[in-house]
Amino acid sequence: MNTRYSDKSPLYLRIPGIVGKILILAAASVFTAFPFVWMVVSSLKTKADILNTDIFFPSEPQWGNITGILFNSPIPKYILNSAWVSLVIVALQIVSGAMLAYALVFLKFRTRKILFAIVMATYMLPVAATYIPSYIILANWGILDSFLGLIVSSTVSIFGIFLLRQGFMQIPKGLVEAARMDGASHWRALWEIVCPMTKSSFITFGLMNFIGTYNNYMWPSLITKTSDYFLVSQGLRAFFVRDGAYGTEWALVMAASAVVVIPLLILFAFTQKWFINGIGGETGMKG
Amino acid sequence: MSTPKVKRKFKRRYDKLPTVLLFVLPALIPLIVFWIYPICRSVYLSFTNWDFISPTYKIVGLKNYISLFRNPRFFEALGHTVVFTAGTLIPTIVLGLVLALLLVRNFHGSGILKFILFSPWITPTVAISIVWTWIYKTDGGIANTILTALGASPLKWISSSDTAMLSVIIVTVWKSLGYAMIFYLSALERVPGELYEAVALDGASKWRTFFDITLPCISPTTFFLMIITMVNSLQAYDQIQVLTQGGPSGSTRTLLYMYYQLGFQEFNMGQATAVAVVMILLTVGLSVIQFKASEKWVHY
Amino acid sequence: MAEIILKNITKEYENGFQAVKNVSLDIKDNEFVILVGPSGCGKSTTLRMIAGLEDISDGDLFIDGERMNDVAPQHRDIAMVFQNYALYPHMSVYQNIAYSLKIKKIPKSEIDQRVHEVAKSLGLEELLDRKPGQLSGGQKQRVAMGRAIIRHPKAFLMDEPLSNLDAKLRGQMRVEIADLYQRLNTTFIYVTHDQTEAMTLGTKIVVMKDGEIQQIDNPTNLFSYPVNKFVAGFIGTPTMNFFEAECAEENGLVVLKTVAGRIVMNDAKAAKLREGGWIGKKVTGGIRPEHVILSQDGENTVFSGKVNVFELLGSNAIIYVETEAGMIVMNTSQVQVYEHGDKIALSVIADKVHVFDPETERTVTN
Repeated sequence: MNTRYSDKSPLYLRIPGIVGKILILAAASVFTAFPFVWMVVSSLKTKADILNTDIFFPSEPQWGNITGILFNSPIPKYILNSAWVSLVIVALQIVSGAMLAYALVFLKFRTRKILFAIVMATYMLPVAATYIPSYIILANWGILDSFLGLIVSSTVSIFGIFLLRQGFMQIPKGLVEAARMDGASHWRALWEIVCPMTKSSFITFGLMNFIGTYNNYMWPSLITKTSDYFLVSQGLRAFFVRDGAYGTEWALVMAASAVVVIPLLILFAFTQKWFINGIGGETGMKG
Repeated sequence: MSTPKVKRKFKRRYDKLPTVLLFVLPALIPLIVFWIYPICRSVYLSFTNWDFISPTYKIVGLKNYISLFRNPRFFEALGHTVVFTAGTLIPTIVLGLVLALLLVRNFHGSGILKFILFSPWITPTVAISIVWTWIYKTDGGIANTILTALGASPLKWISSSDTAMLSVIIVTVWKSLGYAMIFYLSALERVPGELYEAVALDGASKWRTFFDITLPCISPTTFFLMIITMVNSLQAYDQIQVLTQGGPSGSTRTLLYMYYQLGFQEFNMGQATAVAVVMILLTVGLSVIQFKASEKWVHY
Repeated sequence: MAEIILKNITKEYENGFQAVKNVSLDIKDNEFVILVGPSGCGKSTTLRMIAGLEDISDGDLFIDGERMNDVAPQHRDIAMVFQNYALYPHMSVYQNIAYSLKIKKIPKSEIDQRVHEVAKSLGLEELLDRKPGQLSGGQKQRVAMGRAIIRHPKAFLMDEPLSNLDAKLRGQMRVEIADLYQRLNTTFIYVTHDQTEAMTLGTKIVVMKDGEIQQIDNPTNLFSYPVNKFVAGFIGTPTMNFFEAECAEENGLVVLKTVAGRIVMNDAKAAKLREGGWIGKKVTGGIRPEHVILSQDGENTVFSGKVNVFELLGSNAIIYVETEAGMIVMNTSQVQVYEHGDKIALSVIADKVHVFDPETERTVTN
């Protein structure tokens, strides 16, 4: 058999290739992981350690840096803010997105194609271009510096509509029709038939948008000024620049970053497959 | 004959209207209020001299655009945007593909590598940019420590206008590399195996196989990534805000950052929205060009 | 349990295509009605309009005297069995069958009792915990029927329910559906493209073509008195032979003159042909293969030619004969073996000849 050409060559010829592959992967992984590692080791250092570039590991781990952030800083509050605001936003985005995607796939109406074209067009446009008028709208409604403002302005996810539409299109129309014949309203058909069948799209949608909202920085930082309403990115940045901590309290800043980043890495470790299968498979195109 | 027909059409359209509205409006209303209306409003504001504070403003025609096009800062920012976009797009896509090619066949530990390589994408840009600020620190930063250890001369990274853009690009590529890799991984898995067998029977070399089979088969993903990376690069804000705030001396001020400064620091809403319109046109223009070009090299 | 009336129903799509044109149909209580026709004839669309899955562009639909055009499918109290079964893949067989009752908020104990009843009658008891993915085609078909039966709906709609089964299973399920109809005693509307299925199942068959009803009749009449050439050709296998002929009057008898011979019309047919002024005109003749016979003495030969294909089917044989009038198929029980190329002279049972208007294709002898 001559087909498996790459496996056929003798081992000694394949060695340079294997070594090259290992080197590239090792370099990429080190490059990627290094900032995380550096963040963690720096967060455990004393002020003296921090300034001494000759030592990599802390001379003695300063767990107090971490507990200080956890118990004596606003960072945990920002994390909670981010978490619950993101949960609410993602829940709203899932409901509104699923309904629109259902309408686009299973309902018949005249303006369906136009509606999809509009959604498609907004997907590509830079969000930032909407910020000034959106800011004015929230100001007029009097909800600028509030959780409500953050939530109200983010109840729809165009990415999510795409993702769900893609998933819904895989479902045979007959199933929804059968549910209708069985007496189900469109609302029930969506949540009892379509949703369980496209569970993975919903999970991917939820996770991606949760992370995106949780980490979001520019828009929340424009509309919230009171630290009570800060999401985690804005809070972290405020912590970073406050009272000249910038440049002096590096260990604390790294500890704060670590407290923010590590839970996300743990979340990611448990949900990895939904990200990897979900986003890779949903380019919206064949390939 | 004509009356019943009119009546019929009317009826057909409005029969199920309540259901359709119920399903469409929860997404459509926010979409209109926070997307479509603001875009239109931005275009309108770009023809005014509004300063955000005074209640009245005038239509000034193309004045905002004219002064923008006379402002060297604008062309500087445009240039930075182009450099930044190209500087992130090309390495992200090329390195993302290389990593995907190396990881497409599962081996012991490949799962961990995928985890590591993708993890920057899920962490807050602000948090990791703060870490990078510390890494880039001119004295005592680990980046320079490594450079010195390797025998190279230390750089000033984000403190010098020569290297600031490079520093921001490195952080951006670091963050988006894994994302591109994941897309390529799933694209590579979908290349039909028979194609490889067929081309092997034809006696093609490894490189030929790659260029004749693999690249064309994954071209839709490449195209998708180019669009997405481009749109993301045009909108990059977090890392610039944390690392350099557009500095030093404007060397990392992109169009978006200029928009932010004009709108939310100088409250020159007319000029700011004019920049926003330029960004929209740029996005649309680049997308159209890419779509047109894609007909030549993307194979569905 | 329901009377369904379609009054001048039309389905027009946005591009102007009319899938169903001005269809009127009365379906009585407890009737088994079959919509049959080639694909694209509008039969499924008609069914889906009755179900409420397609909008009615024009005309009125009444169920038990109530106009239903704008009533959502879930409020029509009609059950439907889909071609691909449309079982909910994430639910067990039990949940699939129980779903409609759950929606109606029927108490759990009653649901349980009814599901087991239905499952028993369909032989599904052992499978209640399985998911649809673990079932065979026939089992899925039964679940789909169970899901419809459990509701005691006003009417059953079936959209090509057997087309995904293999031939043997199809025959078996056909019997089961007929049996089900007897037991349930309710209105059935059944769509199929298979005329054999239609003829064996139906008491009232609606033949459709290009969105229009061609004929509504019982199987016997459809077979013996098709109203036009399309119905004549669509019903029956092998299909009816058509040939060109000229209608003439000879010695006081009305005859059809074919290339090779003549067929004497009986009194009834002769009267119709005279009445219609067909004497001296070209017509299209039609004869079913089972009414083609061997010409004994050469006197009454209508077609002569050579045997092309000879198919022996046991008790009968089908002979394809290449004649001057084109290919004529004979279905005979007088089994005699022929070789390819054997010369053969054919006659017909004159009483069974159909005569069609060559222009409009209508039957002129009914």
